[in-house]
Amino acid sequence: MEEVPHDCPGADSAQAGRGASCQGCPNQRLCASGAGATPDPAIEEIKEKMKTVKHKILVLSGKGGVGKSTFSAHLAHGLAEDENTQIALLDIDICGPSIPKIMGLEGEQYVEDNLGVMSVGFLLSSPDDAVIWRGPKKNGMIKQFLRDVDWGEVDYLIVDTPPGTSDEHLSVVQYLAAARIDGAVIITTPQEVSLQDVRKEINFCRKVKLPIIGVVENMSGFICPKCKKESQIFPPTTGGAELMCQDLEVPLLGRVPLDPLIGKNCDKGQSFFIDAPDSPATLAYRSIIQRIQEFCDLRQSEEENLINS
Amino acid sequence: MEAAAEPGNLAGIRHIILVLSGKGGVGKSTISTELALALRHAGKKVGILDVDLCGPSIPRMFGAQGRAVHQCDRGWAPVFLDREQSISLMSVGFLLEKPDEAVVWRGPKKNALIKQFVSDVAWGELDYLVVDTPPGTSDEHMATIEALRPYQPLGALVVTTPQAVSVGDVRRELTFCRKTGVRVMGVVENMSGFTCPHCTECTSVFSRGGGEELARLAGVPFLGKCSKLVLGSRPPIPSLPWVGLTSVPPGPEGEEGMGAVSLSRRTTATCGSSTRALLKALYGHGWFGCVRFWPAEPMLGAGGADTAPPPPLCPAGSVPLDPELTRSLEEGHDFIREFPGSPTFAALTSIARRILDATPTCLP
Repeated sequence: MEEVPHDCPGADSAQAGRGASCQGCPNQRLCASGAGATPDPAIEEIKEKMKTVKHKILVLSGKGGVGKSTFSAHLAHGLAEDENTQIALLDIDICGPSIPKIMGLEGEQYVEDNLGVMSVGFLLSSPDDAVIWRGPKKNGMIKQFLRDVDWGEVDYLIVDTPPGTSDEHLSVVQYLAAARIDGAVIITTPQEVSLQDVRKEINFCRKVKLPIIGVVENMSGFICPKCKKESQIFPPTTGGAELMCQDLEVPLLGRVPLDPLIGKNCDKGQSFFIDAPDSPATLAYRSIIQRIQEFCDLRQSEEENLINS
Repeated sequence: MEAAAEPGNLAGIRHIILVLSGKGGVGKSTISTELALALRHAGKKVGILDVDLCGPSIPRMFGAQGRAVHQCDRGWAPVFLDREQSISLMSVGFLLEKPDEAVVWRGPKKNALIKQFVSDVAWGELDYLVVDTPPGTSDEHMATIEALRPYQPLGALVVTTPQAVSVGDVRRELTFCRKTGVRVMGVVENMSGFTCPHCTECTSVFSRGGGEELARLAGVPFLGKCSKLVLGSRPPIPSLPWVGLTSVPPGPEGEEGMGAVSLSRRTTATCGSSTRALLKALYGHGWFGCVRFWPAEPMLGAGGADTAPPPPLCPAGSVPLDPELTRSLEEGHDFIREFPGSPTFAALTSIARRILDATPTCLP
């Protein structure tokens, strides 16, 4: 029986094209010839561009539909409430770019003076246009976003990703490798079906040495607007994110309950915080955003100490 | 290069259905699983091919995690759920040594595995093969469709949730289907609403309207909506189209449909002509089960709470949010067998029935 394929050793590794897992890969000949050995010059170029970007945060999840884009958008809104902070939101979900809709943008790239957005959604002429691209072309687009967009002085760059652990994720980590990513926020919902994919994502982060800021459990409980009693729409049959975080020794940043107003506001392209400032979901978001800021500040001062010592 | 594809492995499959969505987390795997269970309930032999390499959910949904895949003389043997081999599964989930191991592959490698999955699994004789896909319109989807094209799939079920954000992605999936020549059999709206178990208030947790809009954009039947003809109350604003309402007690399959038809003939006498035309059009499209509707436009100035649509008495079709469904999938139970009285069961079996009706009876 064919051995279960292990991960690709990497186009630039010594095993490129020669490893057991390279059998059958269409790129095998290319890798074996050593073409992948030289590092991509774009990585250095991106490092230069990123010098004016203080903090870079990736929002990930192995699972689709858990609320990455919703979270990214609201993280951006929350951080941008401080007018002195410059925020940039980059949407690298090439096939399903939700950020323009959630931010209420049809083509303009600035939501507020201090909050700018970039997404492949802006490059599509019609809402029906499908981006049917294979991996290499998606990678090229991500490279362009990082290298060719004039980000300027940015305090926080938030990168919203598609679900999975594939081209887009590998590319963004590779291209930002020299530029130092602060860390990743991983979103999940309470069910095991989500957690089993999220565990893979956590392992992916560890494999590529991406620091994990923490996990957010979204859609965690629903308060009926009529009777105010709580129900679990997505029951945490295996202990939810809390148990997973304990097992994998990863911080649980917080739990966000399901509030129907979140979906409605995303559909309208508005910030949910403005529509429902007292919702338990808003309070949960704000606490999580604060923890993320604290993490970034701590990393920054640790680095400065390291440089100064 | 492989030899001309052996006619063997897919030749015994009568019909292939893809379950697609541009959007993640809308319930493709859930719908694939429940469709398979409902088709089995209807006496069919079903296979599920899970081509989601990064997030393979299917094994867990059938309680088959940890099962091993073996080789046989015709290729890989699928995992059978029961002795009768009424449901068989193939997923990359079965091939992972450790379930938490991430499959971190770029496109070309994913394409190679999908080709193998399609051609090398010894499915045997099946009535239906349901192909569960990951979100997006990329490598996996192109590889799957290219590999399946010689076997002429019946079509695709497109799954969405009610929000505009989902519709935004899923309409791109419709374009993908058009460009790749895949027939869209219909649209299913999942997570349509949640009925609070404490007070029975139905809330649109994930907004509303997405399924209908998508079906309209695609020009296809909205598989996910059944409504109920309910007689009795007077229309709050006479000038607006409103159907007289009555309750049709739920019954076994065929009777429900017939009950609604005869009632509609009675009610058309008391309703306006526009409603009559609407009813005629509905039954012309083969809507079955119960029918309920409310004015298409919100009634301005009449007050929010008073004009909210009546809660579904027998919601069928639009698949509601149901923690029991979620729990069954987590634990690998057969929801169709265990909860036959629930509105969710009605919704799921109505979708399966629609698939059965759409399946050509004379085989090439």
